[in-house]
Amino acid sequence: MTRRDPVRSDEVALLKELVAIPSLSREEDKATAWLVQRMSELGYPRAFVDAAGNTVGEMGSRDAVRTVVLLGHIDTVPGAIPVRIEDGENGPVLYGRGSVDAKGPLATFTAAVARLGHAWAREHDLRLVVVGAVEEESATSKGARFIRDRFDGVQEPFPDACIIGEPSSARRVTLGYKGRLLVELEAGQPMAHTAGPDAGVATVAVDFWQWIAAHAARFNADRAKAFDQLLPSLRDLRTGTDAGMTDRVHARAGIRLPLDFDVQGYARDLARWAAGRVGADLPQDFDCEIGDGSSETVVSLAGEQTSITLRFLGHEAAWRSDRNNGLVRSFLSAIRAQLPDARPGFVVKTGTSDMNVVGPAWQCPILAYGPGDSALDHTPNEHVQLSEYASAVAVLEAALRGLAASG
Amino acid sequence: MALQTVSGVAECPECFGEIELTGVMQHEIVQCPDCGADLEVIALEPLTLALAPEEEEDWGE
Repeated sequence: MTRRDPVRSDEVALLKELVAIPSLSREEDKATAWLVQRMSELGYPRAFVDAAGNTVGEMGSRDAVRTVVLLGHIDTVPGAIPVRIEDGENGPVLYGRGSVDAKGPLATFTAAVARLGHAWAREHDLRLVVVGAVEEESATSKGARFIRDRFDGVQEPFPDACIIGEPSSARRVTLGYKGRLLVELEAGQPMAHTAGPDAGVATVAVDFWQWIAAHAARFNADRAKAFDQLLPSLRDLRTGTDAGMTDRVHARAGIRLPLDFDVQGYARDLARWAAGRVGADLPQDFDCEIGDGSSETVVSLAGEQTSITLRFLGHEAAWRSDRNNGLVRSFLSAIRAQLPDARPGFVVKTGTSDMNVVGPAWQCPILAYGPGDSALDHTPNEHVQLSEYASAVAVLEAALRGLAASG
Repeated sequence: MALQTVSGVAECPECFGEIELTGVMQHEIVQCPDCGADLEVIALEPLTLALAPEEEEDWGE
């Protein structure tokens, strides 16, 4: 990608120092305090840690006509990667946990909004709210839920646009993320001799997984794209015998959900399978309410020999943005202007992000943006090209200028 | 600055057919009625279309 904007040493220092401070989920304090201090030095008139522990830096008047929330996250997954800059084929590369997911995008937000400055934001009657949310890498998404509820249309107005801080590469914008549902099965039956006639309790977990896999195969039969498919994975499987002489099996499945998936119907059908498996009755009008990622639904069924408990948790609905709105147009214009040799791209992802949390609540133009290759997320080789980081800062600055100008 | 919209005729870069456009904005995505290609309005004067950004699939985050 040909870049028009130079790599700025102060912006590289911002990224490198942020990456160098470890910040596992629920251990973000040091990084948060550092970034708040740095935002103040960069001219953010309001930089603070909110009640959820998020880093927040605001540019522009509190009561500006329009609000854009730039929602990144400051936590990372575990894995200490020595922070260093090495020469790569295409110039210097920064290695470190979070350099891609997602301190690179968060530093991009911080730097681009600092370039615009408070006076510019006031002049355009625009409030830019940069957030380094906590606990994005856990199913709780505590930081994003707090921000979602802060801008609830009552306490503060719904944002006019939102940019999620996740790696898309500098030339692309991410339009959507699949949803997610976690399902745990616990089954128990009286301890028995393995030479006896009864099938071991582990077969319940096998049947559970086969039901999920067969359901997905039927659902996906005429769906070519991964974004449109139901994608289950078996994440855990354990057996044991407890002190009460009950053989037990635990299984955990993660299911990536397409748009408009009937998650309540799915949970109800799975509960009916479990009832049939243990020989228990479910009422004809049985239903299964599934809330968002902060809630858990438990269904317990007991038969003569076998009991099954199903737990449905970590649910986030899939979300996908429209391609024709002022936010997307501003990014396309900025990418074409700042990266004239690169073809802009859209991407949809099979994972989840904080877009799944705030998108349904805010119903505003939304996309995810940030430098880096998400194939490096959570890997021991996580790194970002510094030239791409500089490009992303320039693109974001230009996109926000375009958005402000579009009125 | 008010959003500028333009109406007119442009050529589809995929099938070279003529497309009549009404009230389109810069960087708006439209579809060619003849070949179905997704197109981006990359200039208003003259009204110019390019193939729209491709939609890729990726994993993460």
